[in-house]
Amino acid sequence: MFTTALISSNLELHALSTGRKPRVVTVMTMLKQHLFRYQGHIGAYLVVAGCDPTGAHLFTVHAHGSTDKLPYVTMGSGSLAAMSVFETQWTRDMSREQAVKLCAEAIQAGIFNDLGSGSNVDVCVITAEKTTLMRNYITPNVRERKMRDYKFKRGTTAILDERVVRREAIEKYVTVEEVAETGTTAVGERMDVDQ
Amino acid sequence: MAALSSYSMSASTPTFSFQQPPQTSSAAGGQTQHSFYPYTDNGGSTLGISGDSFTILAGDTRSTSGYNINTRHEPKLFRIGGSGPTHKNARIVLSVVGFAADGRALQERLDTIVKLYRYQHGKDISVHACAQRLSHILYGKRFFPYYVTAILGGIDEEGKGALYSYDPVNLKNQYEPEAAQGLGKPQLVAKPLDRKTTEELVRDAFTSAVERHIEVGDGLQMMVITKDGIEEIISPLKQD
Amino acid sequence: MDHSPQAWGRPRDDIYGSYNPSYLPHNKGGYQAHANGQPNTHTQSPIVTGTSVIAIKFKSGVVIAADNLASYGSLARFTDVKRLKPFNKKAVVGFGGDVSDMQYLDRLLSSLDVQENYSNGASGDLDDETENRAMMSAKNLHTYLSKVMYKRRTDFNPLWNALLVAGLDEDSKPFLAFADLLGTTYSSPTLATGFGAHLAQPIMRRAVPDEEASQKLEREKAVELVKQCMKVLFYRDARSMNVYSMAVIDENGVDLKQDIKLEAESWAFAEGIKGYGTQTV
Repeated sequence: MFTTALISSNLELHALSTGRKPRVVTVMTMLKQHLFRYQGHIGAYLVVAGCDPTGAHLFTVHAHGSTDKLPYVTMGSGSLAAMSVFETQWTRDMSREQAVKLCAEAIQAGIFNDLGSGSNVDVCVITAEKTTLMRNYITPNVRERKMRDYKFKRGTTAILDERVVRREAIEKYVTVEEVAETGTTAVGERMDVDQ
Repeated sequence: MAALSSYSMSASTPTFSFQQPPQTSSAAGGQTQHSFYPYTDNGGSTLGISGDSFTILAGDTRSTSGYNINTRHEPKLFRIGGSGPTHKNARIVLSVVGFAADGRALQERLDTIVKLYRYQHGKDISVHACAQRLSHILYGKRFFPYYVTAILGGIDEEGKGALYSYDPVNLKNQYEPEAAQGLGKPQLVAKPLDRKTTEELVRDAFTSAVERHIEVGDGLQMMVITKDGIEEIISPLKQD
Repeated sequence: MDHSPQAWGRPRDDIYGSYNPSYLPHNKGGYQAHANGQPNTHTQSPIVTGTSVIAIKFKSGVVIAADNLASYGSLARFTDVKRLKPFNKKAVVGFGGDVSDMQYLDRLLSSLDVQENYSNGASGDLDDETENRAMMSAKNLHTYLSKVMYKRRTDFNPLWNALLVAGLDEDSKPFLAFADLLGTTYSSPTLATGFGAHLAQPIMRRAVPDEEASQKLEREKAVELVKQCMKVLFYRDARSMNVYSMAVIDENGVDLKQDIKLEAESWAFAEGIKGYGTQTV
C-alpha cells in the first residue's frame, strides 16, 4: 500500500517536471528499481496496467524487482486457478465486454477453487480516456440469512450502578473536540477515479 | 560322486553361505532419522449438541489441503456399530476432524470393536462404554497419536442425549444436561433445547463459521440421533 | 561330505567364497548401511517423479489421463513412462509421484490380480455375468491401495505417490477416488493430483460442479475436457510434456490409448511479446 502511494506521488512529480503524461513503463521501472533496492524485503507483488500515449500495457512486478510483460497475467494465491481460465479462453483482440467477462470468470475460478481468494469480484477498466472501477462487479457469495434471531432483548445487561460524568469533569484529563460531521474528516489515500 | 570327490576338501569342516543367522537391525544398532512428516490437516469443523431425547452432531463436508479444496463432499460424521457396512440400526455417531486418514482408521477400529461387542455380548454397547473404549483407543496410541479431535454422540440408557469430546490422546469431557456453570441467576438456568430450535441453531452456527473460516464450507452434514434411529440431513453451504 | 539338510543346495564357501549379504534386505541380514555407520533409510523424498494425473466421471464411466514424463528433479529424464496402469476390465490406476514406488505398486497389483483370479476359480473363458460378480471393482481396489498407503506411512516407510483409482464400482456405476502417501483418501466427480489440483481442477469443476452434472455428462465432452486440461498443464507445469496416455473405463471395459500427442498447441501470442519491460524491438 505504501509502495503504491509512494510511486503514485513520485509519478505525479515526474509528470509535472517533464510536462508530459506519465507512461506505464515509467511506473513499472520506478517500481522495479525501488523494489530491487530493498532485495525483496518489501513484499509487494503487483500487476501494473494502464493506457498512455504509447498504447495499452500490462506488466507484473515481483518483490525482488523482476518484471514480466504478457498479454494476460494473474497474481496471488488464486493465480493458477485464474490462469487456467485465461489459458483456455483468452483470444487476441477481445472486445471490452469480452475482456471484462473473462477477467470476472478468472477471478471467480479463484474464489471457488482457492481458499485464499475472497468472495466478490471487482473489475477495473482502463482506457486512454478514463478509468472505471467497478467495485463488487459480481457478488456470488451473499451472506445467508440466519434462521433464528440472536439480538439480545433490551435490558439484558443488568445495571448495577449508574453515574453521570459531565464534560467539565473529564476535560482536565483529555481534550474534547466537537467534530462537524461523521465521515467527512480524515480523507486518506483515495483512488482518483470516477465511481 | 566321482565329480564331487575331485574337489579338494579343506581340512576343517566346510562352511556355507547363509549359515550365520540374519543380523537384525537392533543388533546393528539401528538408528533412524526421518524427514517424512506423517500428518496433514484436512480442515473443517464439527459440533455436537444434546437435548432431552436427542443428540445432534454436525460437520461441514469440505476436505482441504493447504489452500486447495480436495473435494466438496467428504463426510466427517460416521455411524458406529449397527449391522453390516450400512450400519443398520446404529445409535452412535462419531465425528472426526483433523487428519482425515487417521480419522478414518479410528472410525474403522471403533466400529469393529462395537460390532464385536454385539457379537460377543448379544446386546448393543452403551454410549458410555463406547466413549470409554474410544478414550482407551486414543490413549493407546499416545506416542504416535491419531491426529484428530473427535466427538461421540448417542442416546444413553435413560433415553437422554449423550455427548463426549476428545483431544488426540484422551477423553476431554462428557456433557451433562443438568450442569449449569456461571452466574446462578434464575433466568439463566441451562435447560435443554427442543429439536427444531437446535437444528436451526446448528445451521446458523455453520453459516457463521463459513463467513469467518476459509476451511469451512460446501456442505453441512447433520446427524440427529433419537431412540428411533439416526436421521441424516445434508444441506448446502457456500462454496467460496 | 556334509549330509546335513541345512547345507543342501547352498554354495560352499571354500569353493565359491562366502556370500556377501550386505545387499540383502535388512530383515534378511543386510548390513551394508550399518557397516558404514550410516542409519538405515527409507524413501525420504521422491527421486524420479511423475507429475499430475487428472480424471473426470461422466454418465456411464470415467476418463483418466497422465502424461508420459518421468522427471529427475528438473531434468526431463524419461519421456516414455506410462503412468496409467489398467488393473482389470473395471479399474485403472493413475500414478503421480515417485516412479520406483509406482513400479512396486504395479507389481503388487499384478500379483493381486493373479491371486484374485486363482481364488475365484476362474478359467479364463467364463460367461460374463459370473466373471463380473467375481471381479474386483475399482472401489475394492481403492480400498486396498489406500490401506497399503496408510500402513506404509504408519511404518514411516511411505510409498511416495498420489494415486487416482478410476473405474466402476460393484454396481457398475462410475467410481473415482484419490489416495496418497499419507493414506488420505477422498472422492469427487473430478479429481486431479499435483499441479493438476491447481490448474486442471478449476476447469473441470466449472464444467462438472457436482455429482448431478457428472451423471449428465457425455463421454465425448468428458474426453474433450480432459484434453483441454492436459494442454493447460503442458503450458503451465514445467514438469509436464505433450505426450500422454488416456483411458476411458465404462461397461465395455478399458479403452486405453497411449502416446497421444497434444493437439492444436497455440504459441502465436509469443510473437507479439518483446522483452519483459521497456524493450520495444
